[in-house]
Amino acid sequence: MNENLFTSFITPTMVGIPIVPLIIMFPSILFPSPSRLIDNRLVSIQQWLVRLTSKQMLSIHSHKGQTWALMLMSLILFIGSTNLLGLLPHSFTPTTQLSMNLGMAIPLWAGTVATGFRYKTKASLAHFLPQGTPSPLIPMLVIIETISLFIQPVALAVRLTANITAGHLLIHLIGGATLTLTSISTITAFITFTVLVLLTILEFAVALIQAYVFTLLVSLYLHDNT
Amino acid sequence: MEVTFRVIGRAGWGGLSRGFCAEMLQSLVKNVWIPVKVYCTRVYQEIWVGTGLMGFTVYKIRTADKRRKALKALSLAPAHGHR
Repeated sequence: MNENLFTSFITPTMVGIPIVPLIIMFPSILFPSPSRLIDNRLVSIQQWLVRLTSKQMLSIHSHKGQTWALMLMSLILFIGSTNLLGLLPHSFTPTTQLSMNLGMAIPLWAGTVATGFRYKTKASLAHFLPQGTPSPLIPMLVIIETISLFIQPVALAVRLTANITAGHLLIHLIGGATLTLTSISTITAFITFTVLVLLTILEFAVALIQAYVFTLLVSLYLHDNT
Repeated sequence: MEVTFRVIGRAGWGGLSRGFCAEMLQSLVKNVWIPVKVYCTRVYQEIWVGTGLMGFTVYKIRTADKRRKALKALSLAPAHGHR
């Protein structure tokens, strides 16, 4: 176990140069561009997955919303692959950094809001007041709706950061506990190891689910504004 | 593949001659920029607005942090100077 629990979250450097951009660009190598009508197995499986996800996610959108297909599919592939690669031992996960997730959430959220104000100004302004609100409550509700609007990108970023960071921390802690317990009590170490295996399986699921949730929420914000 | 064979045959500074860099740039423009040009310039204009907003926020936070550190250094300096 690391002497400090949080050393795996420090941005890695090589000869004093931060290599985070290289780590961020690395998952793109795992998705080769299709070059033929019928490609090899890897590309075919990836194409099938992308088609499945895009059909499911973009079916609710209008024509304007469906122009965001490339962005949404890139987003889910990037976050999913980054989260999954982060489950490899001693690897660095860029999505544990709040700065990175805010850097994804704020432009996308602001893009959806700007799209709404540009093409459907009245409908976008109408979102600040739910239908059927009693007159005395209008000022308070407008304030509440404004706050809930501005909190959306922060919630997006913090949700992803917290889930991935918490999962990695738990794996570190339980892994360290398992190692320590092997010299004390074998049965307890075995139980802890079983918990570790189950937790790792859960973290695989969380990695994919968080990518889906992030993209789905951006897609929903876009749907509200198109 | 064609580009790779040309690199092996070409003498230059570690194979990265000006011609090879130009070919790499041309390939990048043809295979990457041309397909995404429509998206970057027309479809995702609002996302650029969001990127600008985020850049402005980052700039504000960084300058505030620098100002805080400078003020902290200034407030510590007279205390050290009196010794």
